[in-house]
Amino acid sequence: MGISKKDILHLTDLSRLDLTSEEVAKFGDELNDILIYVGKLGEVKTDGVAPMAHVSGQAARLREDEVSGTVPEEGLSLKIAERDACLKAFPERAGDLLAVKSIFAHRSKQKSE
Amino acid sequence: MKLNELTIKQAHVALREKRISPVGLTKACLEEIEKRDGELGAFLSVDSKGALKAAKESEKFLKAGEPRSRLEGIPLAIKDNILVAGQKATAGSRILENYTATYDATVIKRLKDAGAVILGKTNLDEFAMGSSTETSAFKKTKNPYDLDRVPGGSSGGAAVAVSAHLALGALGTDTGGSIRQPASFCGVVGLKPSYGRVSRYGAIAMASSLDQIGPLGKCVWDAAAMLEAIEGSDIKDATSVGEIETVPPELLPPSIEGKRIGVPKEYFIEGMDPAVEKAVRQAINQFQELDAEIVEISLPHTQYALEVYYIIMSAEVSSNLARFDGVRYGTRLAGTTLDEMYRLTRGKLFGPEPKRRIMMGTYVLSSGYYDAYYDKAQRVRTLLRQDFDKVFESVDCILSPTTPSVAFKLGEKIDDPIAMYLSDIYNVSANLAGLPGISLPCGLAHGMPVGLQLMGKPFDEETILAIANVYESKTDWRAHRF
Repeated sequence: MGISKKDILHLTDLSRLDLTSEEVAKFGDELNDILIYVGKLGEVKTDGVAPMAHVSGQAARLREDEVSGTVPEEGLSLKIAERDACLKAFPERAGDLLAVKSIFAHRSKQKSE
Repeated sequence: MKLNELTIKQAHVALREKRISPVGLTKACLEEIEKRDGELGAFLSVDSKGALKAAKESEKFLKAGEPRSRLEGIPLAIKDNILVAGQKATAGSRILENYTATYDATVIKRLKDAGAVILGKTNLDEFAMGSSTETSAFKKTKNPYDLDRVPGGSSGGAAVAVSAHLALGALGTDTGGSIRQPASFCGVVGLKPSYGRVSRYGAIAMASSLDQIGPLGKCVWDAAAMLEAIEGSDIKDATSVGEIETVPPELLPPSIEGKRIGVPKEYFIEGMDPAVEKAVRQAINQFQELDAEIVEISLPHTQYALEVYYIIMSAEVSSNLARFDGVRYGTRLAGTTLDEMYRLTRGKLFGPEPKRRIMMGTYVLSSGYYDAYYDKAQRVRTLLRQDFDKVFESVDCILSPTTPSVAFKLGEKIDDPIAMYLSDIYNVSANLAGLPGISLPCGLAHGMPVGLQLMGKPFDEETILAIANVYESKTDWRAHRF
């Protein structure tokens, strides 16, 4: 089960990562090596063994959907400060709005999924 | 002795007795950073103004005889993937080069409430991916014992800050050994808590079922004091666990008589440095002299631990790093279309290691390969955990070397990903099984520190801290003065 250049390019589509042609070649080799290494798992018998996603088998912990009490003065100014900090972090702004390229107007050259 | 060379244990008493001042203590650290960090490269950013302000605040509490905690006035360093509000959080990556954290991580809030002083943010492998701190986009960090050698990673900066007395303690993160391995390479104590013991809210996520924040310190007492300040359930982290029995460091038991220490036969492998093995076997003898019982045990699935780790970790990484897309924060490289923006931003601003792991993770999760890799790895993860559950019926903790070798030279392994990954071989099982693990110094080999690792039962930090504490009190491998 080797990784071809086509596979690497498909992965770059899925993960939205542009690579140079040197990187494509290098990662192809490295990923192949790593996959051979981890392929060893195929020899382990796991029939009847449950997969473990979380160490304590905990399912999602839920809580009541309650509105927390009135925001005290200092709480409110903290929230405003946090909001301002988030706005400042926007790479491109139009007032208080985050500016991004249009989502629907253009498509990249790749086939859409 | 200079103030920055004190341990937290010593400093907190001296502060309470008013023999030293918190401002003096913080100044001593800042001066040492000024003097040595140009050469060592442990810090990415230093907040002298904020630190001195916090130190002055601590002075008020100490003068009134009301320190908020053992950490009142204690200067600490924080790995740069943990958010401190108002300070940059780069995760060692160009994609976050100018990102300023908009909130405090829960652990930081707890440290600030405890009166600790935050000196600055330390260097790391990019997005905490690596075992040498060499993949940081910004600088290399050097091992204070030998400037041609790596400090380990990914919490290399944090380990060096403690080892070279630039700070009295530090916080790092550990996903596959990233606290314990650099602690071992730099001759300090490093603790990875049980999964769920410490809130991950505000830590930049790498692999969410494996990550934990933990302390690095000059001695076991210090690590225990820092753990006590940060641990405990947090409503903002649904994976953090409720009822924790805190272990105050003063109450660690003074004897380990009768404790059963398991030594896994699979961990003493070919390819291990004989000088490292010798130091660890000497430690095993020491434990016997301290009346602990040494039990040979077997962890049969050990040979698959690294493979399981790499599959699960990279799958979770590919998911967690999807948020770095140039949209709401971080650096954006605009293209002509939205899709181009994603691809350029991520392609140009992520370094090779994150890209490698994102692609690996995307591959193992993709349709057609999910069963063979990801699902399979999750099942073997269960088997690994069952190995530990079985063994813990007959031992109280498990002892091993922290790493198979001492710190290697800068540049030695960076072009060989698999060789780099092998240095995690003793560490990843604790993350996969959610167990606590501590590394502490147990000797020198080729003039470089050797670390001993103790792994404990889930949420039984008390036992491994106690055993480590007693061993440390009978030996003399503390962080050196340079």
